[in-house]
Amino acid sequence: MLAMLRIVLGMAVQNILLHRIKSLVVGGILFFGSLLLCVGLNLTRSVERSMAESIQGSVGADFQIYDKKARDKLALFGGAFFGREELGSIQDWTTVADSVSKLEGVKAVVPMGFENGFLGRGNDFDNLFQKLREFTRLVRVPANAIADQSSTESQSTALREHIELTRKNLLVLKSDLENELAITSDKPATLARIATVEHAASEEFWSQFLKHLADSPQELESDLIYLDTRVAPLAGDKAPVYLRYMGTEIDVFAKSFSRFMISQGSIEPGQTKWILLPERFYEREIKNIAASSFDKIVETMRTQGLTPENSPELASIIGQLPNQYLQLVFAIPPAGRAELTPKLAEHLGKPDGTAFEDLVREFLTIDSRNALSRADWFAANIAPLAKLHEIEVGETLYMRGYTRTGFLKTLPLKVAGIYSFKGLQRSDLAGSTALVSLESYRELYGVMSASNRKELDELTRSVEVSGARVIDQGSSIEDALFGDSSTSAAAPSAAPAPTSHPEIKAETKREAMTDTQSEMKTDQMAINLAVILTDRSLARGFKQKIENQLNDAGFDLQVVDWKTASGLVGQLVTALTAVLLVSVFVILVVGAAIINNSLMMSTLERTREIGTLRAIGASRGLVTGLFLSEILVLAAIAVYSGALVSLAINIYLNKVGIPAGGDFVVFLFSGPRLFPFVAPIEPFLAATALLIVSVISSAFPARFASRIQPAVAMQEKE
Amino acid sequence: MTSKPIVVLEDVVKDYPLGTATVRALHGITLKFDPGEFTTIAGPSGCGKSTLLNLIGCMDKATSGTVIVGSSNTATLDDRSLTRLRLETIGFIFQSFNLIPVLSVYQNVELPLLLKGTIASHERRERVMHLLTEVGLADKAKSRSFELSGGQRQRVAVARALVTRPQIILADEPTANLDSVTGQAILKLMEAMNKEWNTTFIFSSHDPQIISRARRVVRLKDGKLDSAHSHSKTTHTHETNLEH
Repeated sequence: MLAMLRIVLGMAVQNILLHRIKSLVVGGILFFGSLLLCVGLNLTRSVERSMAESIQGSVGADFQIYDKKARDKLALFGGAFFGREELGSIQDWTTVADSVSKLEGVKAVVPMGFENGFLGRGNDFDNLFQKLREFTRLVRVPANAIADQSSTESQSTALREHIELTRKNLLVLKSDLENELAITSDKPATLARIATVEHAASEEFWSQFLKHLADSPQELESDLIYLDTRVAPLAGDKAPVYLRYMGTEIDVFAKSFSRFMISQGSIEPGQTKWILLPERFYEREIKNIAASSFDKIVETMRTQGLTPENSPELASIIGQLPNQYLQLVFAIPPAGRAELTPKLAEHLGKPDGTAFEDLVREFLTIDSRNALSRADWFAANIAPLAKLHEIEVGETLYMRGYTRTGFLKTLPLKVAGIYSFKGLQRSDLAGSTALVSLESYRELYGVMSASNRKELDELTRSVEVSGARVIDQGSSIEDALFGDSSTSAAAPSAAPAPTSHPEIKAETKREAMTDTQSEMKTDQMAINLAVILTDRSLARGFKQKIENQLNDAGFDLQVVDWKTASGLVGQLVTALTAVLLVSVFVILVVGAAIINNSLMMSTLERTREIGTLRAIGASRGLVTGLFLSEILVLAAIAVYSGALVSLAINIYLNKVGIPAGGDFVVFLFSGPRLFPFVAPIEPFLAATALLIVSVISSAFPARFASRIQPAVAMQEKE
Repeated sequence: MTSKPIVVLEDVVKDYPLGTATVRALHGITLKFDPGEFTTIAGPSGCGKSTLLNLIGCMDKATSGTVIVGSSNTATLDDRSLTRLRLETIGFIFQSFNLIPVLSVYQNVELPLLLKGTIASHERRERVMHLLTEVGLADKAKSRSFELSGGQRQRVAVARALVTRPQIILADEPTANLDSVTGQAILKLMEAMNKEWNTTFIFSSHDPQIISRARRVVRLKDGKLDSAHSHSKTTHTHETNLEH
């Protein structure tokens, strides 16, 4: 038996060597198939793991709890069409959290609520006139104080330049309005606007302005107010910046999500109206456009090693840069301009007295040779003097959004700091959501905070006192309640609305009000709760545990795992796996087809040999075994060497890492580089699966071979 | 001869399908072969020589009639039993030698013994080397078939056919691919083996020189038995109706 086995294996090996081309083709396909399979599986699993880390470490946690009656599915990174999800609410998250925390293995429960909002930004003229105010102050102060002649002179030069800049911008606005004239249906209104702008841009207006600057502070103030209130609004608003935000309890959040870090600023204890901006958003969306262009130039040229010649995107950034000079000029305060003007003139080799804006424009006109040196000069000399971000830490921004009852609401929030998730700084996905206090979130959501409710109670009392006016103002109160509760809390007394339903009695109104109040007694409202386990390995089966716990406690809430909760993004992992499985399937099918085909060919070539074997007494089983062992030997050599090479590749990749090409990939890789893990056993398991498929796919040719009649041995070739 | 025949064919008919028609290769052949015979089946190409050898060699079954090999009626046997019968009872020598190219001379000869499975390795070695010595190729034991000449290959094939000590050796035109001198040498070897082992040799040929060496000639024509002559080795009576 052993001798038979030896001869069968011997024949198999000899046949492999004899049919070298066939063996090379089949072996080669199996080798590359195995290599692809093993490397691909490992990479997908590594990406899956790193992405899980990205999601779980930022907001995903292990499980998410939310309203069972929610109309939409929870999508932590935004839904499919970035619409507004209807996720219901959790009235008192603390009781739910207490209940869930009782389960062994729960590390923390973090309340959350996601919403989309936008930042109101004013317009360019607001900024221009704001600067003008600063200049006038600077020019006037030294004149009264101990004179520093040269400084005063340079300040007034800067002021004159600023006035010229403002007039230029006004002329642009005027021509915009003239264009509008052609299409407007209200020509007189537009003509009036043109007249205003024309006046503001006129020589006469500004000579008066300078005169007032010198001798009449009151007149000057009136000029400035005229510009602020009459002229600036004509330019319309800047495009709003959209920003997704999440309300949370920052202490619990910071403790629970290990990757979270505040890179600038901090939240003072007791502060509630704060916002933490994501670093990515801060650096991309609200950074001065010229500064942001320099960032991109440095990143593309220095980090990625590209040049404008081979990167059209970089070429476009460099091409656009000179057009952004005004934005940069605006970003530099008067003091900075005075300091920078001589420096810039020297750096650019321009004569003294060249206007600041011309110097800036010249500075921004770059090419591939001086792009990096200009960027460095910018970072060293201009950046420290400029206000590079539209909103900076410590300032107040106005978050606007629609409440759940459909009213536009604006909430002032102090920018307490800039935050990011470790390793995910470059990721748009992880860096697009601002953090606000749960209280601010609730206000923007449209529920009443304790302080607002107190205010309303007082208001109600004062209304009761004024008796007869209750009915008249009822509908306004209703608006205040169902609508924009906090801002319009004071509305009834300010602007009485016409009574639309005079027949409604005061009693009914009062009832409705009390009901609404109790309904809105939701100081602890959250939308979803993130559950973090002490150990991720506990996750299996834990969902059921949480569900049971919630059911027992009588909460009508549902539990989803992080993958489901992360919506489309989470499904990407599933999609990746699916893509891999499909490619593996294709590899297997193609491999199987080729093995089948080549073995059929070789069977046909060897019919006489097989016939001879059969004639001299070899059974069908032996012939089958001969063919199977042939493919077994060949495939084993091929697939296991593929697995070995893949292991070597994985070890290498684990050492050097795979750079994340795009910003989205940073999220997938959970950092700027992916270091795939090295699993020594798995490649061999995958290779074995491939081996089994190979053997199975050779079953048909082997069976075909075993059916060859011994009489074939007798046939001559002719 | 008085001993029990080793092969008996009674009214054997063999049809082959050819498209929708059937071609009759053998028309009611009745023949007997005794142990130790040295017989040639002669006839022109397409007369049914190979078909007859296939039936005797248990590689095919008759359409009708009876083929008894040893004591088994081949019509009643399944593939497994026929394979066993070939392995135990018959040795084959082919016109194109049909050695297994990937095996050495030694392994080619040893193969049928391995297939039998019951023979101890030292005995296998003894038998293989003895036969290789007999056919004069002991020194080529380790060679591959492509390193040998045609005559040498056929000698290996003879050794392979004999190694299981079969009762019958079937040879299909064993000398057709060899030059006449080598062919004669092979035939001589076969005669010697026939004498030494008392093995029945049945071989097909259309070479008069070969046919003349046979002790019995079975002649086929168009699938029918044309005539059958038996002559003793000593008389050497030449056949009268040779078609050459």
